[in-house]
This record gives sequence, C-alpha cells and structure tokens, in this order.
Amino acid sequence: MSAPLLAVEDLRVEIPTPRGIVQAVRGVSFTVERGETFALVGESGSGKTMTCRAILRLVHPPGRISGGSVIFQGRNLARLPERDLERIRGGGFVMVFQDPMSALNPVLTVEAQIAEALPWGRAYSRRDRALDLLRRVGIPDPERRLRAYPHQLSGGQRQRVMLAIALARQPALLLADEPTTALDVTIQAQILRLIVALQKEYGMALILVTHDLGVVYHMVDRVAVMYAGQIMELAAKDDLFARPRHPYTIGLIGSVPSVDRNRPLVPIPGTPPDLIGLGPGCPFAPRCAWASNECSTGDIPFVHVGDGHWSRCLKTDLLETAAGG
Amino acid sequence: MAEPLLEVRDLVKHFPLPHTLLDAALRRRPETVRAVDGVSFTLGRGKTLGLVGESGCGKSTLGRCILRLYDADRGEVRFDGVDLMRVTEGGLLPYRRRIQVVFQDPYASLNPRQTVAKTLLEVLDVHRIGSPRERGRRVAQLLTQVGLSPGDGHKYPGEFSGGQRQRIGIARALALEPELLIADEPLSALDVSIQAQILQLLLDLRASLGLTMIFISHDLRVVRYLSDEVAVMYLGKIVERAPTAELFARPQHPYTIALLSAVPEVGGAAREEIPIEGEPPSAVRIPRGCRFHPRCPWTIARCLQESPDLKGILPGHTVACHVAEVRLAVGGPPP
Repeated sequence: MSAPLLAVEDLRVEIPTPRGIVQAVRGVSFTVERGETFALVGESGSGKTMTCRAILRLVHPPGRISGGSVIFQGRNLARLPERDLERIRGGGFVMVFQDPMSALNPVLTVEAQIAEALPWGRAYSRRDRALDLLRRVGIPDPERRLRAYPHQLSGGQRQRVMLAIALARQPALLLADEPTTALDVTIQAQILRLIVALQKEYGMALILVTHDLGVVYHMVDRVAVMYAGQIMELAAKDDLFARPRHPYTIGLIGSVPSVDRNRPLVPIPGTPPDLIGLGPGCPFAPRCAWASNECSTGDIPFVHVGDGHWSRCLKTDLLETAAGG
Repeated sequence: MAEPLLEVRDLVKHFPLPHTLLDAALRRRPETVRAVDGVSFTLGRGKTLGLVGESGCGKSTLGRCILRLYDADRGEVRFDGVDLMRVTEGGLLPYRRRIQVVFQDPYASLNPRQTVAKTLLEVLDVHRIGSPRERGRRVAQLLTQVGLSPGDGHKYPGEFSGGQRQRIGIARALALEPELLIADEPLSALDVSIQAQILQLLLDLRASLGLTMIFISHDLRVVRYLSDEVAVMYLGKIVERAPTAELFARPQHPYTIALLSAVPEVGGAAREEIPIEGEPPSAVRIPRGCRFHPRCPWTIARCLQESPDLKGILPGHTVACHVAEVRLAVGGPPP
C-alpha cells in the first residue's frame, strides 16, 4: 500500500493562559488518503479547528505545538523551515475558513487576491485565469466581480471567492474549517454542492471541520469525532452512523434534530470539561451514562472495534447492544 | 372558538435608508428596507407558532414589532383583544409583563456587571411583584426551574457557559409569568448537545406553564420539535403556513420545499427536492409580482405580474403561490 497523502501522528497543542495551560489538542492521530473526504467533527472547544491549524503550523503564539508529527507527501512539516512551509501552504494544501470576510483582504479587489495566489512564472494571462476560476466557483457576472471588493459581496459569494483563491494553487488537499456555518441554509447547500463538485474535478482530498453531523452524513467518507482535544471515535461514515461505538458519538447523534423523523431528542447532560488541568481518565466520563470508576483512572486506550473503526472507550462491548436501534 | 391570544393584521415595518446625494439630486425619497411587508396571523392560547426563514426575511423584526421594541408603520397587533399599536408608552408596562422575550445571544442580553440574582430581582422590582422576601424566594425557584441551582444566583454571567446563560435568559423571561413568550433564535449560538438540552427545557416549561409561544428560527429541524404550526417567511411576507406535521409532510410552496431540501439531514427520507440557485434579493428592491419568482423553478407569466395572496388550499394550510394552487388541483408535478 502506498503512503497516505497526510499522516498526523500524536499531535499536541498547548495554549498558556493566566489560569493555566489549555490542552487544546491532546495526541491526535489520523491519516488522509488521496482524493478522500475526511471530517473532523466536534463541538466548540473540542480541538478540531486547532488540529487543522497545527497541521498547517498556523497556531498563533502564545499557543504552541508541543508534540507530534505531520507527514504530508512524505515530508515532515514539523521539521520543515518556515520558507519551505510557506510553499506547501500555498501549493500543496490550502485552508478555507469559516468567516471569509476576515480571511479576505478588504482593500484588494477580487482579481488582485486571486492573481496573488496564482503560481508565478507561467505564460498565461493572470486575468483570464482569475476569470476562469470565478466561473468555476459559480460567481454570477464574473467580469464585474473581478473588480469588486470583499465588502461588496454577499457571504455566499465571499466563500466562493475563497474557494477560487484556494483552487488557484491546484492543491492536493483542501482544509475547510466550518466553511458554511455563517451561511443561510439554502446558500450552505449551494456551497457544499460546489465543494463536492470541485473536489471531484480537481481530485483533491478534503478535510472538513464541522459541528454539523447532517453535513458530515452527506459529504464525507470517514469521520473522526473529537472531544476535549482527543479523537474519541474514528470510522467510515456509514459505519459511524449505523454502529456508533462511543457514548459521546451516540449522544451527539441523539442530539441532532430532524425534519423527517419524529423521534424524541436525547440531549447529553452536563457541559464539556475545562481543558485546563484535565485529570486522568476519560474526559467524557462525567456526562456518560455508561461510566464506572475505572473510566476516571489512567489512559483510555484507542481500541479497534471493527474494520477501520476505533473507539476510545472501555465499554465498547456494552455499547454494541445499546446503540443497535 | 375561543378568542386568539394574539392577532396580527397587515403588519408593515419599513426602515428608511439614509438620505443619499443621489436621492437629493433626483428629488426622491430615500429608499426603504421593507423588512415586514404585510404580515397577518392569529395565535391561539397555549399554542406555539414557529416562524421560519433565512436571514433578512423579517422574522426578527416581526417579533420586535409584536413586543413594541419597534413601532410598526401600519397594521394591528391585537393581544388579548387590545391593539398594542394604539397603547401609549406609559400604558405598555402591564403588557411588557404579559409578553416576554428570549434573545439569541444570552451574553449580550445579560448585564455582565450584575449577579444573576440581581438581574432577576430587578425584573420583579420593576413590576412590583411580591414582597422583598417573596422576591428572593421566587429567584431561587426560577433558577431551579431552568435547571440551575439557587446558589448560582451569586455568580456573574461571565462565569457561566453559553447554555447556562441561555437558561438564565429563560429564567428572566419567565420571572413575570408571561402569557406569551417570544423566543428569537434561542438555540442558534449553542452547540448541538447543549441545543438539545435547551430545546428540552423549553418543551418542559411550555407543558408545565401552559405558555403561548412564538419560536423564531432559521432551522426547520428545531422548529419541528416545538411548534404546533409553522409559518415560512420570505422577504417580509409569510409564504406558507400550516400545522407542523402537515407542513413537513406536504409542503406546497416552492420556497418551503427548497428550504426542506437544503437541510442536511442525518438519514433522511425521500422527498421532493428543489435545489435553488442564487441568493435572496435585497429587501430594498423587492421583485415585482411574486417576490420569490427570480429564484423559483416553477415561474409562470402570472408570477411576474401579480403578487400571490395567502390562500387556504387544504384544511388549515395556506400558501401564497399561483402555481401551487393549480398543482394541487391537478395533483401533478410542476408545470
């Protein structure tokens, strides 16, 4: 088997604060294959965004990557000098953020920002390339939009421009951090359809960071469910929804409202833990219906529970029957 | 039939844009944002109306007009038989007690420099409810009612998580034992697992207190759990209204169908889908004829000329669409 496109191994991020050190990412490992769609799912503070930033080495000080490795196309990004890293960020993979307004430059036109991202030293008209990219991301009236500034665009159009900028480098991997969270539902559906279409066209791999299991269900191949800085469960998407093997995943699925099924909601009691001074044991134990004494001591192993399916839980045997319905 | 608790008739609220140089040069009146553009509905006691639509459709403005946080330009807001639009500012206090609101951002709507107990006491003080000692007891009771402990009263809003803050926002709204509760996107700022908790709390409170509610949300999934009836808004108007189960089973307006098809569902049954392209036009330049026609896949000539009225096409089910009427009559797919 060939090496994966991206291999993240035991990644750790710490953020010192006046109250103590926030352990934002606590030993995250996963791989992404070429052309694959992979989702990092979790609620606020689960560490999903920070994991993404750490992969690109875009953790803002005083936050710092305190351990682990990121192998992309055979190179360890953790050891790469900043200059080479810059090249990979621009070419090999790119990130699309939740809020395009703050990611775009407010004083440059759309054309200038796309042109800036285009590779140097090729014989073509930068303007034609920019125009072509705007067409591909479905911007209406692209000739006029080239001269527009970000504030003149709607939220959905800004996200399309972000995608055009991302595609300018023909990346092998696209990281999308909640790309549709700030958008209305009909616009969200448009942007998601666009991302899927572009991904096929360009043969890119995609890491989608999201809190929305509904989006995950429709878009991805594999899912990692994150909680308190760790991956709690990792599985193929169909497997995860049909046979969840972690209590948090079961709780998350039970919390999602549905327009189709008239089933009662099953909320997870309690709130996520403070990431400062996390003790040993499972961070979900205080909210877990299956938890017993052994859950709050020692490290919880990431156990293999099925084909490509892993769960960080001591009670996976009990869960198999519980989640059957 | 008993008199409805709330009756809104032809409500209109336009916001004028700033007077521009161009306006002056052309000697015309400044343009207006037609946020609420003729909305009517009634709401029976103990019922919950879900008000759904995307940003800019006017759902929040409508809620604020009912609360008289905005003064509407035209129309009537009859609450328990009294037109609130004609009540003077001084005469509103008793109605402010009977109609309460929960906002989206629980942090922005709580005073960060006041303990939670003080915030709740203030509400009781303003409306002179009970003796000082009774007020203290009531605060403890309210906190318990929303799933916090009486001891939490000594803390400041900053010491709570988002979900807990929303519980405080709900406690404050319930302090005056309102008859009508307007909840404006109360779940939107919360994480999924916390959202489900607050949704459950609202369901429990409504059952135990017999509240009448207007639940404003952009999320059809959430609305389904709380509402007896759902009204879908687009660019300042209600385009479809039906009992909840009916609306989800047999949506008639193309915009409702489009909204339902855009919801990313876990699982999800087969249903008619309309993927819509384009974005809603600005509420400053509302299209002539049917306001949805530029994005509508069903458009016929009539839609460009004539704005459709809300018409009853099935029992309890009203729709503002020229094509839906015909479509229902012939029982076929769109023309």
